[in-house]
Amino acid sequence: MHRSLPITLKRMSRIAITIAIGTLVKMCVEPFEVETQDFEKALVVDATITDELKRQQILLSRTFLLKEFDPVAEENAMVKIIDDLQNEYLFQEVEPGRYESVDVFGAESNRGYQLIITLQNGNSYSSELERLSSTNLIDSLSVTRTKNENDEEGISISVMFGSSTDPLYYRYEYEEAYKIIAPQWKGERLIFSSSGEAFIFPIEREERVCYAEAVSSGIILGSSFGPTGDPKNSFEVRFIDRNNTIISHRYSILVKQFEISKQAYDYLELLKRFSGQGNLLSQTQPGFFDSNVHFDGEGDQRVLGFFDISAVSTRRIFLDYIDYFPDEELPPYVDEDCSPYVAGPGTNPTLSYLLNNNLVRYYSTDPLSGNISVVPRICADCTLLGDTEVPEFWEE
Amino acid sequence: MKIFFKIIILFGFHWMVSQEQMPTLTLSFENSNINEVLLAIEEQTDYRFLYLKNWLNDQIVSIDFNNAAMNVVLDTVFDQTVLNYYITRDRKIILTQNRVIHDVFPEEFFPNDKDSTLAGEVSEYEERVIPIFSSTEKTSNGIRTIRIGKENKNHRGKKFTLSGVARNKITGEPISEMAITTMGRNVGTVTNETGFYRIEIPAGVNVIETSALGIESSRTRVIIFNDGKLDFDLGEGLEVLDEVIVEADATKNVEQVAMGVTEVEIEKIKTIPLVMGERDMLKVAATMPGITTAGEGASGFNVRGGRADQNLILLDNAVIYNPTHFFGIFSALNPFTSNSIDIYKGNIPTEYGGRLSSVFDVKTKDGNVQKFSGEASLGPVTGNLTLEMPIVKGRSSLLVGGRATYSRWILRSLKEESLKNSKASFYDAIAKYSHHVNENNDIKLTGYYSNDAFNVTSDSLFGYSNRLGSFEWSHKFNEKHKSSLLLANSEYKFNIQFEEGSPGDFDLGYRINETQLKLKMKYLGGKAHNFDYGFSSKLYKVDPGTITPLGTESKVAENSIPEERGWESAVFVSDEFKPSEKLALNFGLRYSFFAALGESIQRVYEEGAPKNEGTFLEEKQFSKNEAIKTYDGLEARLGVRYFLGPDFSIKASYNNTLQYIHTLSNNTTASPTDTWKLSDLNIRPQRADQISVGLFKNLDNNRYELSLEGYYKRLKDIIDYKIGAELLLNEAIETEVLQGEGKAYGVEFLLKKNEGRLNGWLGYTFSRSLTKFDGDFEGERINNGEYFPSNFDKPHDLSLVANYKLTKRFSFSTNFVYQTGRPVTFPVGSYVYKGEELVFYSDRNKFRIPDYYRLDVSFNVEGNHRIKKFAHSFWNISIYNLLGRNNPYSVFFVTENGQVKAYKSSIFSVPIPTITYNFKF
Repeated sequence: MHRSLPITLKRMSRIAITIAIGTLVKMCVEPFEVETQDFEKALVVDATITDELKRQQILLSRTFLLKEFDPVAEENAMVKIIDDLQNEYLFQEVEPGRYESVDVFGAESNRGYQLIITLQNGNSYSSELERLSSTNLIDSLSVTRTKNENDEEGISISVMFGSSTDPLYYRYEYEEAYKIIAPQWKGERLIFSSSGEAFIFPIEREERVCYAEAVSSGIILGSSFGPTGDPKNSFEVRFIDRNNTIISHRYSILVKQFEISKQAYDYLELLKRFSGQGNLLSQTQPGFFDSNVHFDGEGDQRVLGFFDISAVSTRRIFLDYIDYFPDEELPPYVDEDCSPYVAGPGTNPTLSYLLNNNLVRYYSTDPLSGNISVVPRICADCTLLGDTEVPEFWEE
Repeated sequence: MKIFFKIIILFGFHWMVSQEQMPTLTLSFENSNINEVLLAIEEQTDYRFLYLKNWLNDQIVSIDFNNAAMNVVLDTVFDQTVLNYYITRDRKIILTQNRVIHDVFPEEFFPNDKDSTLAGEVSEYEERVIPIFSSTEKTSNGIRTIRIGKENKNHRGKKFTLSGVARNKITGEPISEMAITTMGRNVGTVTNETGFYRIEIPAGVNVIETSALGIESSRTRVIIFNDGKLDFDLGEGLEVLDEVIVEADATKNVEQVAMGVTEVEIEKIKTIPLVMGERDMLKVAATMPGITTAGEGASGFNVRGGRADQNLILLDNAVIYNPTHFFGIFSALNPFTSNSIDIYKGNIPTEYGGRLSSVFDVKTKDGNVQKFSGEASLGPVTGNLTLEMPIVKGRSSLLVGGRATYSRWILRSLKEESLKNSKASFYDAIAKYSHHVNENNDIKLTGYYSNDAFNVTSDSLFGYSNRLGSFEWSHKFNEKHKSSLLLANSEYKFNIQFEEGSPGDFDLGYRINETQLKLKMKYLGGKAHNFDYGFSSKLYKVDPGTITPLGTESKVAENSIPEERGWESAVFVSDEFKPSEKLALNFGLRYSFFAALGESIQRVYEEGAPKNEGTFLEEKQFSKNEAIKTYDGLEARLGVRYFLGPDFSIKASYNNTLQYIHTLSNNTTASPTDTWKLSDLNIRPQRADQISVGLFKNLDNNRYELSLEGYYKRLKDIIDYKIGAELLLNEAIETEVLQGEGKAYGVEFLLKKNEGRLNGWLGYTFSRSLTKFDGDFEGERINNGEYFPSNFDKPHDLSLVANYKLTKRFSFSTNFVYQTGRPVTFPVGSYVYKGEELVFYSDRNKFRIPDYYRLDVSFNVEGNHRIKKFAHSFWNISIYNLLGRNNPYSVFFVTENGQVKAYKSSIFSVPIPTITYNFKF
């Protein structure tokens, strides 16, 4: 019933209005200091209960001043979930602000769940009764070499899901892992004897191939319909620029799809909107909007965050750079220049200073002049960027 | 009204004439034709004579003056003729045959002012003494003598009956209500509806005087010695009367019953400093108490704490939905074709309805029926040309005016390379045909079109346009009963096109169209009652939004929200009633009715539950023209005025209004992409009640007007939106809409000086505008259901507009504006959620942006007034925002690299100088 506008349209009209006015009338936009007026400390509830059988997790924290990054954990709260059969699931604090269910459980369909929180100061909060939405699984992940809306080339990773007639709403998280290969790795190191003579030894530990992992941050929202309400069966979760080093060799992504209710979707969509872009001239009315968790007492105790029950579906995929960019140059390894350079007692800094502080790796010795070349350590030692241990899930 | 005239006569007019310094002349003529003398005077002075050549046929004159005052010269020149002269303020000398133009009206010109019997005292206003011994038909000063009967001794002390008919010389129609009096005697009568009169006068010489509104006065010497008959064939009153009417407003401030009325006359605002050369009466209106805008570059007005959609803006009786160009920076009303704008913010006349807060009634000038004339102006942004052409001389004329952006220098002068390709242009055109068919019938036709277009990049286009047409037929049944029939059609639309050869290309459009038929009648029921009554009926058609794919690449699905239709009608009656000299009342009632019409599909929701997908029950189908839902209401418009002193009055009024159409906007200020939505099954009409009381005082012979008004207003079912609502292309708007309450109150002070070297006004308003959304459900409350300041709540508002005339040609003007900053919603903190730092906002409108103030100055040069010159020129050199105050227009927050940054934007942050040249021909 409700269809949202094409993104381009919203962006367009905003751009049109702002630029046109700005140009014609010498509009002035400048940053200014906000004196945080009347700072309010609100409770932040990050609670997603899934249908996975596991120890469910709830995060509680407090808001902080605008210009300081200082999240305060909400400690010593009593947290529980009650279902509509009056079964209680108790949570305990495992680290400051992080609460885990004592027992392993997963949300079941056709069951209502309510979150109850009692803080240390006695204030209590409760959520509305939430239910598991239908479960629509990820069919597959698709990878294509494409250009994004800024005309940058890269790799697009999309979720393919089964088509449905009813609009479905999703939130996504992903975990990515990638192989790192130090380009200037030689596997050798330089050791000076007390007499000043240089000896070359092999490096025993692995410094050539590493693996790094990262998780998504922020709210990624998707839905089963397009900008004009037409049904859709895919959603781009991740776009990686071809110059991003993480896809240099082999890359893996685990996409986690949380199917959420429309209410949760609308709430998160608003959160995103009011934190995101600004609008120069015609300002969209912002404001505080209620979540589904409320203060039980009288007065104005605000809550941020949404308590949602989600069906989770995950998929992993591996991809190799050469499959998408055959015979093309690899993305830059790091920002630094990895070319070898000569260092010795007379250079500044001196070779021994560089070696003693573990800043470089030995590269080569010129057989004629005896000059020793080194590379920045990061170019020959991947452990600065990742871990040498192969992740459990890794497949070659 | 009649009292105005009298007061003018007493003060204003005399004063104005005496302001003029009579030029001195040196002339010498021997037996010359008067015509030559007049030409010589025109050559020596700026004055121009208006007369018919044949009046001067063979008149010869001999004069010899050295540095004599012009009036002395004229007295001598015309002494031997039947001509009289009258000097107007704009340096015209009007010659009249047989007739003196009185710069005072005869007392009995206004019979109602007197004790109603005309047999009362007759004042002596004649300046020239008529020689009693004259026996010729025409005396030297042009008084006609009629002899009736022959004198004999028996007639001494006897009375005779004089009777006859008074007719309009041009139309031949009888003149009713004409006063017939005898000079120096307490005898008089009034003609009846057929123009017939009968009067008894004593035998001998009587001077019979006649006077009627709009008819030339006459004076006839009647030497009567028997019953007899005397008919009058009289011409129409001189045009000069018009000028009197304008000045007649001098006491309007204290006299009129209605309060909360603001009038802006275009001619009077031309010296006010301009923004980029555009004269703008709406901007001037916003300097009056009770009328504000959200800021520079905001379209829409907030009148006495009302939303911007609560103003009925009429251009020649047709609604203009968006009266601004360029997102509100310029007015779309052509200043050169407009005559005046009346703004009703308190007691709205019963003939108007359909908006809660105000009526802006803009009237276009009637074209010149005598000769071709025009006006042109050139500013940095636009060029403007207005032409007035007589079609049937003396009866009908066509006025056309056009204005367009002609220069892109502002965009081109920008440093930013990417913006040099953007284009912004606008234009508007108006044509008005007015035809004076005959004494009883007038026809006026107006057509108007305005258009704005913005090309930001080569692949996008945003545009909006207004189109309207109106027809007015005024008919006079008789002196007491008049009517006007109005037909008007208006359309507003906007369009966004985006085409870059991508799958997202689209073409989106919105349109609203309305047609209104209105009949209003006026009945002057005698001295105490004047009635206005009539009906109006309006049909709305709205296309709420259509999106279509653009280009072959586009994969945008076509979508169109079905047309909405509505029918709004009203009957109205009001009576202005004066029980006594001091007390005047205006009782009005308006019954309005609205029907949302099919064909349509309406969504039905559970009773007493928030409207959302969860409470959605069914869709109801309505066939074409079937009433989906009807709303109606009785609106009272009551006003009372009581004179506490001769130029001091107290007034009070009560007003309630209904509004069936709403704008949908989730912006904090009005924008051109706001759409209008009709009331339907799920959206109720808005309602308002207002009471106001005021004191009105004129000082120093009406040179100063002083008023103090207080009001309290209550609003019901005003519209707001859930946070983050999607309003465009949303079929289920009602799920996003909140309807709440509002209250507004304020005190408005205005001091106005209309005349003199220093003139202008000083206005101060203290006002509050509060809203409350206290629904039964969580999502339907804002700020916990308590009252909070609306987006346009600006408690303190001070405006000063002053003009200072250095000489006749040079003048300075200045504006100063101070306003409390408008309320905004600020982020009050950050938090981490799902691994990301986000901000959260305060309660709605808890904070304010910094106060707004601005000073503008301008220097004006009027061209030489010499007639020989082809055109009359006018230069305006303005500096807008002289202090360079960076008035924030909006504030917003952006998360950049995980950091929340605050930005403020302002529209004119530096002083903006402009020069405009303007000439009339």
